[in-house]
Amino acid sequence: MTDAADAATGALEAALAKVEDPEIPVALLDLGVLRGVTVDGTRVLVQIRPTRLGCPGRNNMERDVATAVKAVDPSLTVEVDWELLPWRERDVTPAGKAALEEIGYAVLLGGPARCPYCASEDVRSDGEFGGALCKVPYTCRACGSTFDAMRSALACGRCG
Amino acid sequence: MIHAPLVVAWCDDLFLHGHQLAHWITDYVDLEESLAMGSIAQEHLAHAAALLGACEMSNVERDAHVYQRPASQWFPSELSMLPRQDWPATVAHALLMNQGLLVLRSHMQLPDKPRVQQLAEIIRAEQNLHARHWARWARVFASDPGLCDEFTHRVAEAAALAIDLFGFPVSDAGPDALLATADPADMQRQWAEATTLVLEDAGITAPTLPDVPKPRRPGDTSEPLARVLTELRWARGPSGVNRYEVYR
Repeated sequence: MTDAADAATGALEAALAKVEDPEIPVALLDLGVLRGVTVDGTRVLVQIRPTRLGCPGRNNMERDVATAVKAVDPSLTVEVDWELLPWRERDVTPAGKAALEEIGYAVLLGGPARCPYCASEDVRSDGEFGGALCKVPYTCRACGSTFDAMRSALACGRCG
Repeated sequence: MIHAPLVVAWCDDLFLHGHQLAHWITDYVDLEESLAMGSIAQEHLAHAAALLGACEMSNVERDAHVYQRPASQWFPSELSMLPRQDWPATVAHALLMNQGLLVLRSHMQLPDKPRVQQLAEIIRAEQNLHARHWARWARVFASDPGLCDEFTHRVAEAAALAIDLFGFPVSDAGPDALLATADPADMQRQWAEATTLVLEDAGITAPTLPDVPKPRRPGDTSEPLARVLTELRWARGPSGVNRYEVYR
């Protein structure tokens, strides 16, 4: 790859890294949803792995990704490859986990859920389905807060 | 487009069942159940759309498949065309459908179609969440002396209709290019065995489940199908202006 091509790819990656989830104000990259970008001439292929197959934010993600790419170079064409691979909680980056906790979400990473407000692990699961496909509701017994945890379909229903 | 008559017929089932479950978002049992129904209905539509995509149907073709196809070209199972029901019957219906989809996806193991296999794995994971949800309700009903008999009766009523879950459309006996198994009787038997296990594990006496599939009939004589198609096509609008892109 030439220096110019490297620079172009770098500019695209930087632009795409700022694209946020349509519902949760955290970058798709940090959520582990934006998986990669490939540039072939004027064609840009963006790999996205939705948290769930039925994620209703897909159209908005596709639009926002295209807008970000076009802002770098309007002549580029954008194609989204919706990966058919399961998103997992461990795909969230440390920066993404911190950003989620900052706005009141927990991320289930194998252990029990932890309250994003007081860090207590004394929490109660309030069901397997929340206000969105990728969220499950909890109540913290320590501070009384209710919060959502991001959860993949692969997580054990009895965990947390 | 890939020729997959049974998988496409199951997409009819998923679409109709998702539409029926969505009513419980507002006619809800409780708030938590309302959220669950919204998610499960949404995933049924997504799984139907993804399976039609696996058949190499484009977004435009999928849209026409749902919004323009005449009822005579739908082949929903009898179970999926039940009219609106009470909650125990809804649970019985959903549990039987869910076990059916889990069996169907288990046959989508095609070494030459890795994306189909990947899709089957995602459907497994997401439908397993639904399976746990319905099994939990079955346990709730089984543990309540006042409801156990009613639920057992509802399961028997639903089971009697599950005679064509794995029946190919009457006009197209297959084979189905997305399924590794050509014998629908195998799938119907596996469904009967799996469903019996789930019910008995929950403490419900399982009825005799039909284990020989009948062919699916076209939906043009079905009142529930006509009602659902009227509802969803009304939402689109008479001139097609309300294109919400819900089916992709």
